[in-house]
Amino acid sequence: MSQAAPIPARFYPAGGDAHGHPALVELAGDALQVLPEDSPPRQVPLTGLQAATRGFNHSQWAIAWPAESGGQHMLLIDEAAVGPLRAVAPALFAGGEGARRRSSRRFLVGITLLALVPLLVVVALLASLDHLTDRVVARIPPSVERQIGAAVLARTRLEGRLIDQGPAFEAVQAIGRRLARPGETLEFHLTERPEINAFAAPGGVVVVNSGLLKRAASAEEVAGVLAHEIAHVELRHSLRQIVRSAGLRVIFGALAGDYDALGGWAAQLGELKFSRDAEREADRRGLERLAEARVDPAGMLRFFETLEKAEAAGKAGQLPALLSTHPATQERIIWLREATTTAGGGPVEPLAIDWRAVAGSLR
Amino acid sequence: MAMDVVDYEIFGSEMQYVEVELDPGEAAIGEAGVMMYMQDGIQMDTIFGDGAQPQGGFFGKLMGAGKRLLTGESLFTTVYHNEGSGKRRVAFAAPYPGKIVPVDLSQIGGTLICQKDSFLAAAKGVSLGIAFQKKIGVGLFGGEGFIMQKLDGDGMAFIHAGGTLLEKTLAPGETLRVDTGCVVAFQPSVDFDIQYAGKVKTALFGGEGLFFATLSGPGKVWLQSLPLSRMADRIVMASRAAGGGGKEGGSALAGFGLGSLLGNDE
Repeated sequence: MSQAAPIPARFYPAGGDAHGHPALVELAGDALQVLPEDSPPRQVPLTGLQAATRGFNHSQWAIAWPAESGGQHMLLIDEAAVGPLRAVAPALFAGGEGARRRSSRRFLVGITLLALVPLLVVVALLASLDHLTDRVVARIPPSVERQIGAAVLARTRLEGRLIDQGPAFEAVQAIGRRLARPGETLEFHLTERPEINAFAAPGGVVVVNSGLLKRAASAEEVAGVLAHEIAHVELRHSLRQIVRSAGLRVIFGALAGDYDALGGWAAQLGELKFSRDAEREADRRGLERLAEARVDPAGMLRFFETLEKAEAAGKAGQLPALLSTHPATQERIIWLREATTTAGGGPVEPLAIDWRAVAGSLR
Repeated sequence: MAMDVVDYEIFGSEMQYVEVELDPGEAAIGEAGVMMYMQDGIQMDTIFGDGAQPQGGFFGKLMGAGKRLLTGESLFTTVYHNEGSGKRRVAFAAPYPGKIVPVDLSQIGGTLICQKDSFLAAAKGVSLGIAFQKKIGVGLFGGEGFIMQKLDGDGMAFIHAGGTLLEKTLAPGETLRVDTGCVVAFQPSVDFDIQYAGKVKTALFGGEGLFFATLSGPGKVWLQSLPLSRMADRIVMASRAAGGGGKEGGSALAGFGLGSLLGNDE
C-alpha cells in the first residue's frame, strides 16, 4: 500500500449540520481513514463506499457510506485532490467517471448543434434563394411591377431631365419599336445625363442616358444596348434583384445581428454575383432579339469595344456606370465576337436613322 | 499566491457601498467604474486582466483580459495601492439597489462560482476567471447563461446581489427550487440544475417560466430577491416613454379626478 499524503476533504456525518466539518482522508490498508478536525477518527472499509461526481461541472466527488443510525455519511473531495485515492481504488470511481464523460459528450454534441443549426438554416436559405426569388417574383402582379417602374422613372426625373422630343428621342423610339415584339408593352425614355449608361426598370421601362447616345457611332450600336436592356425586362431581372437583395439583407441581417454594415456588404457581394450572371443572360437574349429584328449584331460588339476604351481611359476619372455591376468588358467582347460570328449570316436591314443628326442634336 | 488581508465595512441599507481599509503596501482590485472615493495616499493603477499573476507574461494577461471580456466586463481592472504610511480607505459602491456580499474565500474552500457581472471588488491576488456552464439545459434556461464567473484565492471578495440577499447553507441532498435569475453565487460543491415546472398551465400562466433552477447541497448558496433584469423590465413597463401607463396604485379615487390630475398628463 502506498502511503500518500492525506487528502483534504469535508465530512458531513449523517444527521449532522449542513456546514460539514473539515477533515483529512487517508488510506489505511483496505479501509479509508477519515480524520475530522473536531471529532474522533473513523475507519470505513473501501467495499462499503459509493462515489459519485457532483457540483459545478462535476468538479467534486461525493463519497458516501451508510451510517449505523440510518442515513448516510458523506465526504466531499475536490477533483484536483482525489488523484491518490483514485489510483488505489479505480473501481470506486469508474461509475462517476463514466457519468462525467457522458455529460461532457452531451455538452459537446449540444453546443455543436446550437452552433450548427442556425448556420445550416442560413446555408439552406442561401441555397434556395434563387428558387425562393422565383416564387416571390411569380406572385408579383403586373400592376405592382408597373408601379415600381413608375417610381423608378420618377426618381430618374429628379436626377436628370427627361428628353421627350427631338431627333434623339425619336431615334430611341424608332429603335425600340423595331426591337419590340408584337404584344410587348415597353416604354423607352431618354434622360439628360452624361454617364454612358442605360437601365431597365420593372414594368417594361427602359431608360437611356444621353451620354450613351453621344458615344455611340451608329443606331445599330444603340440597338445593341436596347436589346440587352429589353432582355432584362423580359427576364424580370430588376424585379428579381429587388426581391433577392431584400431576402439577402434579411438573411445576413439575422446572421450578423447588429452589425448592419457587415450584413450590407455581404448582401452586396451576393448581388454582384447575381448581376453578372444576369448580364450574361441578357447579352445572349439581346443578341437573339437583334437577329429577330434583323438588326446587325455587330453594333452591339462595337459598342462594347467603345465601352472598353472608355473604361481604360476612365480609370482615373469617370468610370462608365454601365460597367460597375457588369462582367469584365473584355470577357463580354470575346463572348460576343464568338457569338456574332457563329450566329452571323442572318438577313440584316440597316436602321434608317440619320445618326449624325441625332448626335448633333445632343450637346 | 499571497493574498492581501483587507478590513472592510459596509455602509447603507438598500443601496450600499463597501469601504475597504488598506494597510501600507496592501492593494485591492475593483471592477472598472465602481470606485466611489479614496483617501490620499492611494494610488490607482489600471491593469490589463485581473492582476492575480503579476509575472504571468503578456499571454497570460491577454487570457485574463479575454476571460473578462467573455463575462461582459471591462478588459481592465483597477488596482488600488496604498502607497502612504498609514491605513487608507477606498470605497466601492454597488451599481444598483441590493446588497453587497462579503465572502471570505478562505472560509469556503477557495472557490466561488458567481453570476457574471456580480463582481465588485476583492483583495489583490484573488483571480477572476470564467466558469463555463457545461449543462446545455442550465445554460439555456437556468437564467444565468453559459458563462459564470469564478473567483479563486483565499482573500476577501465582494460581490453584489439585487434586492435582498438570502445566504443559505444546504445540507447534503437538500434541494432548493429557485426562480431562474435569482441565483447569485454558490460553492462549487453545489449542484446547479434546472427542473421543468411540470405543468404547461403553470408555465404559461404562473408567470414563473418553464423551468426552475434547482440547487442541491452540500454547500453554501446566495440568492437575490430582485435580479436587475427583472427590475429593469418593470421600470420599462411602467415607463410612459415605452408605452406603459402609471397603472400601479390606481385606486377608485385615483380613477376619478385625482388620477387625471396626478398621474395623467395626456
